[in-house]
Amino acid sequence: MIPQTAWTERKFEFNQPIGVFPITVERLRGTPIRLQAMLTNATDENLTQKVGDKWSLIEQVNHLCNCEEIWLGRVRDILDHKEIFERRTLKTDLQSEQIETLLKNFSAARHKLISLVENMDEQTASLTINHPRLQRPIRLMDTLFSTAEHDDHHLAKIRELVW
Amino acid sequence: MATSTCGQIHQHENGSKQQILVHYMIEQTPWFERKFDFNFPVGLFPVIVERLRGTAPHIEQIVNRTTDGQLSRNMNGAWSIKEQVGHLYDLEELWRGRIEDFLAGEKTLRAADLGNAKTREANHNQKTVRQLLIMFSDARSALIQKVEDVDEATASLTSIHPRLQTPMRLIDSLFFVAEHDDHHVTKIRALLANP
Repeated sequence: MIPQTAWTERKFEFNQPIGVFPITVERLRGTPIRLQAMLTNATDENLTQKVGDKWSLIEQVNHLCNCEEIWLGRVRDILDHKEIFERRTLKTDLQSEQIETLLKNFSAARHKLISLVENMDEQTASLTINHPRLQRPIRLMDTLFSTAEHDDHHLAKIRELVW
Repeated sequence: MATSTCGQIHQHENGSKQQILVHYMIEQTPWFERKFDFNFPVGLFPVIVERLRGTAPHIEQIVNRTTDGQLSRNMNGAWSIKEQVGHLYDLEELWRGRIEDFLAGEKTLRAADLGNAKTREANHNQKTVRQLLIMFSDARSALIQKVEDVDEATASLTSIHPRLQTPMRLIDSLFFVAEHDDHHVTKIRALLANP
Protein backbone atom coordinates (compact mmCIF):
# COMPACT_ATOMS: atom_id res chain seq x y z
CA MET A 1 0.00 0.00 0.00
CA ILE A 2 1.38 3.39 -0.95
CA PRO A 3 1.52 5.84 1.99
CA GLN A 4 -0.52 8.99 1.44
CA THR A 5 1.31 12.31 1.24
CA ALA A 6 0.61 14.45 4.32
CA TRP A 7 -1.66 17.43 3.62
CA THR A 8 0.95 19.87 4.91
CA GLU A 9 3.41 18.53 2.34
CA ARG A 10 1.10 19.04 -0.62
CA LYS A 11 2.12 21.68 -3.17
CA PHE A 12 -0.15 23.40 -5.64
CA GLU A 13 0.70 25.34 -8.78
CA PHE A 14 -2.72 26.97 -9.23
CA ASN A 15 -2.27 27.33 -12.97
CA GLN A 16 -5.55 25.90 -14.22
CA PRO A 17 -7.57 27.78 -16.81
CA ILE A 18 -10.71 29.51 -15.59
CA GLY A 19 -12.75 26.96 -17.59
CA VAL A 20 -11.98 24.33 -14.95
CA PHE A 21 -14.14 26.33 -12.49
CA PRO A 22 -17.40 24.39 -13.20
CA ILE A 23 -15.52 21.10 -12.74
CA THR A 24 -14.09 22.22 -9.41
CA VAL A 25 -17.55 23.27 -8.21
CA GLU A 26 -18.92 19.88 -9.27
CA ARG A 27 -16.16 18.17 -7.29
CA LEU A 28 -17.21 20.19 -4.25
CA ARG A 29 -20.83 19.12 -4.78
CA GLY A 30 -19.73 15.52 -5.00
CA THR A 31 -17.98 15.26 -1.65
CA PRO A 32 -21.04 14.89 0.64
CA ILE A 33 -22.52 12.42 -1.88
CA ARG A 34 -19.36 10.30 -1.98
CA LEU A 35 -19.00 10.47 1.79
CA GLN A 36 -22.56 9.30 2.27
CA ALA A 37 -22.04 6.44 -0.20
CA MET A 38 -18.80 5.43 1.49
CA LEU A 39 -20.35 5.30 4.94
CA THR A 40 -23.45 3.31 3.98
CA ASN A 41 -21.94 0.08 5.24
CA ALA A 42 -19.76 1.51 8.01
CA THR A 43 -20.17 -0.24 11.34
CA ASP A 44 -20.20 1.50 14.74
CA GLU A 45 -16.73 0.06 15.25
CA ASN A 46 -15.56 1.65 11.98
CA LEU A 47 -16.86 5.03 13.13
CA THR A 48 -15.06 5.26 16.44
CA GLN A 49 -12.03 3.01 16.06
CA LYS A 50 -8.71 4.80 16.50
CA VAL A 51 -5.42 3.57 15.13
CA GLY A 52 -2.67 4.97 17.32
CA ASP A 53 -3.05 8.71 17.72
CA LYS A 54 -4.72 9.15 14.31
CA TRP A 55 -8.23 10.51 13.97
CA SER A 56 -11.19 8.15 14.04
CA LEU A 57 -13.67 8.25 11.19
CA ILE A 58 -16.02 10.42 13.27
CA GLU A 59 -13.15 12.84 13.91
CA GLN A 60 -12.31 12.95 10.20
CA VAL A 61 -15.90 13.88 9.31
CA ASN A 62 -15.99 16.42 12.17
CA HIS A 63 -12.87 17.99 10.70
CA LEU A 64 -14.52 18.33 7.28
CA CYS A 65 -17.50 20.01 8.97
CA ASN A 66 -15.30 22.38 10.96
CA CYS A 67 -13.28 23.36 7.88
CA GLU A 68 -16.33 24.64 6.02
CA GLU A 69 -16.32 27.81 8.10
CA ILE A 70 -12.73 28.46 7.04
CA TRP A 71 -13.43 27.86 3.32
CA LEU A 72 -16.52 30.06 3.41
CA GLY A 73 -14.61 32.80 5.25
CA ARG A 74 -11.82 32.74 2.68
CA VAL A 75 -14.24 33.16 -0.21
CA ARG A 76 -15.85 36.08 1.64
CA ASP A 77 -12.42 37.64 2.26
CA ILE A 78 -11.79 37.60 -1.48
CA LEU A 79 -15.24 39.00 -2.29
CA ASP A 80 -14.58 41.76 0.28
CA HIS A 81 -11.34 42.57 -1.62
CA LYS A 82 -9.16 42.01 1.46
CA GLU A 83 -5.44 42.00 0.76
CA ILE A 84 -4.74 38.88 2.73
CA PHE A 85 -6.81 36.07 4.24
CA GLU A 86 -8.04 36.85 7.71
CA ARG A 87 -6.43 34.64 10.35
CA ARG A 88 -8.99 32.09 11.48
CA THR A 89 -8.69 29.38 14.08
CA LEU A 90 -9.93 26.01 12.98
CA LYS A 91 -12.39 24.59 15.47
CA THR A 92 -11.31 21.25 16.83
CA ASP A 93 -14.31 20.44 19.01
CA LEU A 94 -16.65 17.62 18.05
CA GLN A 95 -19.86 18.91 16.48
CA SER A 96 -21.51 15.57 17.13
CA GLU A 97 -20.76 11.93 17.64
CA GLN A 98 -23.75 10.95 15.51
CA ILE A 99 -22.66 10.30 11.94
CA GLU A 100 -26.12 11.17 10.56
CA THR A 101 -25.94 14.60 12.23
CA LEU A 102 -22.43 15.17 10.92
CA LEU A 103 -23.35 14.23 7.36
CA LYS A 104 -26.36 16.55 7.49
CA ASN A 105 -24.24 19.41 8.90
CA PHE A 106 -21.54 18.89 6.30
CA SER A 107 -24.02 18.72 3.45
CA ALA A 108 -25.77 21.91 4.62
CA ALA A 109 -22.48 23.79 5.07
CA ARG A 110 -21.22 22.69 1.67
CA HIS A 111 -24.49 23.77 0.08
CA LYS A 112 -23.90 27.24 1.58
CA LEU A 113 -20.41 27.41 0.06
CA ILE A 114 -21.62 26.28 -3.35
CA SER A 115 -24.52 28.74 -3.31
CA LEU A 116 -22.00 31.52 -2.79
CA VAL A 117 -19.82 30.61 -5.76
CA GLU A 118 -21.86 28.76 -8.38
CA ASN A 119 -23.12 31.83 -10.23
CA MET A 120 -19.79 33.62 -10.41
CA ASP A 121 -18.47 35.08 -13.63
CA GLU A 122 -14.88 34.77 -14.82
CA GLN A 123 -13.85 38.09 -13.34
CA THR A 124 -15.06 37.18 -9.85
CA ALA A 125 -13.60 33.68 -9.97
CA SER A 126 -10.28 35.29 -10.94
CA LEU A 127 -10.15 37.76 -8.03
CA THR A 128 -6.93 37.28 -6.09
CA ILE A 129 -5.80 37.53 -2.49
CA ASN A 130 -2.46 36.97 -0.79
CA HIS A 131 -2.10 33.60 0.85
CA PRO A 132 -0.15 34.09 4.11
CA ARG A 133 1.45 30.62 4.22
CA LEU A 134 2.15 30.30 0.50
CA GLN A 135 3.42 33.93 0.35
CA ARG A 136 1.83 34.53 -3.04
CA PRO A 137 -1.48 35.69 -4.51
CA ILE A 138 -4.04 33.03 -5.37
CA ARG A 139 -7.34 33.28 -7.23
CA LEU A 140 -10.77 32.59 -5.78
CA MET A 141 -11.02 29.52 -8.03
CA ASP A 142 -7.70 28.29 -6.59
CA THR A 143 -9.10 28.35 -3.05
CA LEU A 144 -12.00 26.21 -4.26
CA PHE A 145 -9.59 23.82 -5.96
CA SER A 146 -7.61 23.57 -2.75
CA THR A 147 -10.83 22.76 -0.88
CA ALA A 148 -11.68 19.99 -3.37
CA GLU A 149 -8.20 18.54 -2.91
CA HIS A 150 -8.53 18.78 0.87
CA ASP A 151 -11.87 16.94 0.66
CA ASP A 152 -10.29 14.14 -1.36
CA HIS A 153 -7.34 13.94 1.02
CA HIS A 154 -9.74 13.20 3.87
CA LEU A 155 -12.02 10.91 1.84
CA ALA A 156 -8.95 8.76 1.16
CA LYS A 157 -8.16 8.76 4.89
CA ILE A 158 -11.74 7.79 5.69
CA ARG A 159 -11.62 4.94 3.16
CA GLU A 160 -8.70 3.44 5.10
CA LEU A 161 -10.90 3.41 8.21
CA VAL A 162 -14.01 1.98 6.56
CA TRP A 163 -12.16 -1.11 5.31
CA MET B 1 -19.12 33.60 -22.90
CA ALA B 2 -21.60 30.74 -22.87
CA THR B 3 -24.13 30.40 -20.12
CA SER B 4 -25.46 27.05 -19.07
CA THR B 5 -27.93 26.06 -16.39
CA CYS B 6 -27.29 23.40 -13.82
CA GLY B 7 -29.60 21.45 -11.56
CA GLN B 8 -28.99 19.84 -8.22
CA ILE B 9 -31.03 17.56 -6.04
CA HIS B 10 -30.58 18.94 -2.56
CA GLN B 11 -31.46 16.91 0.50
CA HIS B 12 -33.40 19.02 2.95
CA GLU B 13 -33.41 18.53 6.68
CA ASN B 14 -36.85 16.96 6.63
CA GLY B 15 -35.58 14.31 4.21
CA SER B 16 -37.47 15.58 1.16
CA LYS B 17 -35.65 16.27 -2.06
CA GLN B 18 -36.20 19.03 -4.52
CA GLN B 19 -34.47 20.08 -7.67
CA ILE B 20 -32.58 23.35 -7.42
CA LEU B 21 -31.64 25.18 -10.58
CA VAL B 22 -28.38 27.05 -10.63
CA HIS B 23 -26.54 28.93 -13.35
CA TYR B 24 -22.92 28.57 -14.35
CA MET B 25 -21.58 31.70 -16.01
CA ILE B 26 -18.20 30.23 -16.84
CA GLU B 27 -17.76 28.03 -19.88
CA GLN B 28 -16.14 24.65 -19.23
CA THR B 29 -12.77 24.09 -20.95
CA PRO B 30 -13.10 21.44 -23.72
CA TRP B 31 -11.43 18.14 -22.84
CA PHE B 32 -8.93 18.25 -25.69
CA GLU B 33 -7.74 21.68 -24.54
CA ARG B 34 -6.95 20.50 -21.02
CA LYS B 35 -3.29 20.41 -20.04
CA PHE B 36 -1.90 18.42 -17.15
CA ASP B 37 1.18 18.69 -14.95
CA PHE B 38 2.24 15.17 -14.12
CA ASN B 39 4.63 16.20 -11.39
CA PHE B 40 2.79 15.32 -8.20
CA PRO B 41 4.20 12.86 -5.64
CA VAL B 42 3.34 9.18 -5.81
CA GLY B 43 1.85 9.63 -2.32
CA LEU B 44 -1.26 11.00 -4.04
CA PHE B 45 -2.06 7.48 -5.26
CA PRO B 46 -4.64 6.71 -2.50
CA VAL B 47 -6.32 10.09 -3.12
CA ILE B 48 -6.59 9.50 -6.87
CA VAL B 49 -7.95 5.97 -6.42
CA GLU B 50 -10.55 7.39 -4.04
CA ARG B 51 -11.60 9.90 -6.69
CA LEU B 52 -12.07 7.00 -9.11
CA ARG B 53 -14.24 5.18 -6.57
CA GLY B 54 -16.44 8.23 -6.13
CA THR B 55 -17.53 8.77 -9.72
CA ALA B 56 -20.31 6.16 -9.93
CA PRO B 57 -22.13 7.20 -6.70
CA HIS B 58 -21.73 10.86 -7.70
CA ILE B 59 -23.43 10.28 -11.06
CA GLU B 60 -26.08 8.07 -9.49
CA GLN B 61 -27.12 10.88 -7.17
CA ILE B 62 -27.24 13.42 -10.00
CA VAL B 63 -29.47 11.36 -12.29
CA ASN B 64 -31.69 10.07 -9.50
CA ARG B 65 -35.33 11.08 -9.97
CA THR B 66 -34.76 12.16 -13.56
CA THR B 67 -37.14 11.02 -16.29
CA ASP B 68 -35.97 8.71 -19.05
CA GLY B 69 -36.92 11.35 -21.61
CA GLN B 70 -34.64 13.88 -19.98
CA LEU B 71 -31.81 11.35 -19.75
CA SER B 72 -32.09 10.36 -23.42
CA ARG B 73 -32.44 13.83 -24.90
CA ASN B 74 -29.86 14.97 -27.45
CA MET B 75 -29.57 18.75 -27.57
CA ASN B 76 -27.86 20.54 -30.45
CA GLY B 77 -26.11 17.34 -31.52
CA ALA B 78 -24.45 16.87 -28.12
CA TRP B 79 -24.51 13.56 -26.29
CA SER B 80 -27.44 12.88 -23.98
CA ILE B 81 -26.91 12.19 -20.28
CA LYS B 82 -27.14 8.43 -20.98
CA GLU B 83 -24.54 8.76 -23.73
CA GLN B 84 -22.25 10.65 -21.34
CA VAL B 85 -22.55 7.81 -18.81
CA GLY B 86 -22.18 5.23 -21.59
CA HIS B 87 -19.06 7.02 -22.82
CA LEU B 88 -17.49 6.69 -19.37
CA TYR B 89 -18.26 2.96 -19.50
CA ASP B 90 -16.90 2.65 -23.05
CA LEU B 91 -13.54 4.11 -22.03
CA GLU B 92 -12.99 1.74 -19.11
CA GLU B 93 -11.60 -0.87 -21.50
CA LEU B 94 -9.01 1.66 -22.70
CA TRP B 95 -8.02 2.68 -19.18
CA ARG B 96 -7.58 -0.98 -18.12
CA GLY B 97 -5.67 -1.68 -21.32
CA ARG B 98 -3.30 1.18 -20.60
CA ILE B 99 -2.58 -0.26 -17.15
CA GLU B 100 -1.67 -3.50 -18.92
CA ASP B 101 0.59 -1.49 -21.25
CA PHE B 102 2.45 -0.03 -18.25
CA LEU B 103 2.79 -3.46 -16.65
CA ALA B 104 4.03 -4.96 -19.95
CA GLY B 105 6.66 -2.22 -20.30
CA GLU B 106 5.22 -0.78 -23.53
CA LYS B 107 7.03 2.37 -24.69
CA THR B 108 3.81 4.02 -25.84
CA LEU B 109 0.34 3.54 -24.43
CA ARG B 110 -2.44 2.31 -26.68
CA ALA B 111 -4.27 5.14 -28.42
CA ALA B 112 -7.81 6.26 -27.78
CA ASP B 113 -10.28 6.42 -30.65
CA LEU B 114 -10.55 10.20 -30.79
CA GLY B 115 -13.70 9.89 -32.90
CA ASN B 116 -15.44 7.98 -30.09
CA ALA B 117 -16.92 5.42 -32.53
CA LYS B 118 -17.65 3.04 -29.66
CA THR B 119 -19.96 5.55 -27.97
CA ARG B 120 -21.54 6.71 -31.22
CA GLU B 121 -22.39 3.13 -32.23
CA ALA B 122 -23.42 1.78 -28.82
CA ASN B 123 -26.98 3.11 -28.90
CA HIS B 124 -26.77 3.95 -25.20
CA ASN B 125 -30.08 5.79 -25.33
CA GLN B 126 -31.84 2.42 -25.75
CA LYS B 127 -30.54 1.27 -22.36
CA THR B 128 -31.85 2.39 -18.99
CA VAL B 129 -29.63 4.69 -16.95
CA ARG B 130 -29.66 2.01 -14.24
CA GLN B 131 -28.15 -0.51 -16.71
CA LEU B 132 -25.52 2.01 -17.78
CA LEU B 133 -24.59 2.83 -14.19
CA ILE B 134 -24.24 -0.86 -13.30
CA MET B 135 -22.07 -1.43 -16.39
CA PHE B 136 -19.88 1.55 -15.50
CA SER B 137 -19.71 0.71 -11.82
CA ASP B 138 -18.69 -2.93 -12.52
CA ALA B 139 -16.04 -1.86 -15.02
CA ARG B 140 -14.70 0.77 -12.62
CA SER B 141 -14.49 -1.80 -9.82
CA ALA B 142 -12.41 -3.98 -12.16
CA LEU B 143 -10.06 -1.06 -12.88
CA ILE B 144 -9.65 -0.30 -9.18
CA GLN B 145 -9.01 -3.94 -8.32
CA LYS B 146 -6.27 -3.95 -10.92
CA VAL B 147 -4.41 -1.02 -9.35
CA GLU B 148 -5.33 -0.63 -5.69
CA ASP B 149 -2.52 -2.80 -4.32
CA VAL B 150 0.32 -1.64 -6.56
CA ASP B 151 3.55 -0.49 -4.91
CA GLU B 152 5.38 2.79 -5.52
CA ALA B 153 7.67 1.32 -8.18
CA THR B 154 4.68 0.02 -10.18
CA ALA B 155 2.73 3.28 -9.76
CA SER B 156 5.80 5.06 -11.15
CA LEU B 157 6.16 2.92 -14.31
CA THR B 158 6.35 5.33 -17.24
CA SER B 159 5.16 5.26 -20.83
CA ILE B 160 4.36 7.84 -23.52
CA HIS B 161 0.81 9.13 -23.86
CA PRO B 162 0.07 8.91 -27.60
CA ARG B 163 -1.96 12.14 -27.95
CA LEU B 164 -0.18 14.32 -25.39
CA GLN B 165 3.21 12.97 -26.54
CA THR B 166 4.50 13.26 -23.02
CA PRO B 167 5.82 10.68 -20.55
CA MET B 168 3.16 9.56 -18.13
CA ARG B 169 3.42 7.39 -15.02
CA LEU B 170 0.80 4.78 -14.18
CA ILE B 171 -0.37 7.08 -11.38
CA ASP B 172 -0.66 9.94 -13.92
CA SER B 173 -2.87 7.79 -16.15
CA LEU B 174 -5.24 7.26 -13.20
CA PHE B 175 -5.22 11.00 -12.47
CA PHE B 176 -6.06 11.53 -16.16
CA VAL B 177 -9.05 9.17 -15.77
CA ALA B 178 -10.24 11.01 -12.64
CA GLU B 179 -10.07 14.34 -14.48
CA HIS B 180 -11.88 12.84 -17.48
CA ASP B 181 -14.60 11.52 -15.15
CA ASP B 182 -15.11 14.92 -13.55
CA HIS B 183 -15.21 16.59 -16.96
CA HIS B 184 -18.18 14.40 -17.92
CA VAL B 185 -19.88 14.53 -14.51
CA THR B 186 -19.91 18.32 -14.90
CA LYS B 187 -21.39 17.95 -18.40
CA ILE B 188 -24.11 15.66 -17.00
CA ARG B 189 -25.00 18.24 -14.35
CA ALA B 190 -25.29 20.94 -17.01
CA LEU B 191 -27.43 18.77 -19.31
CA LEU B 192 -29.80 17.93 -16.50
CA ALA B 193 -30.71 21.54 -15.93
CA ASN B 194 -31.61 22.36 -19.51
CA PRO B 195 -35.41 22.56 -19.55
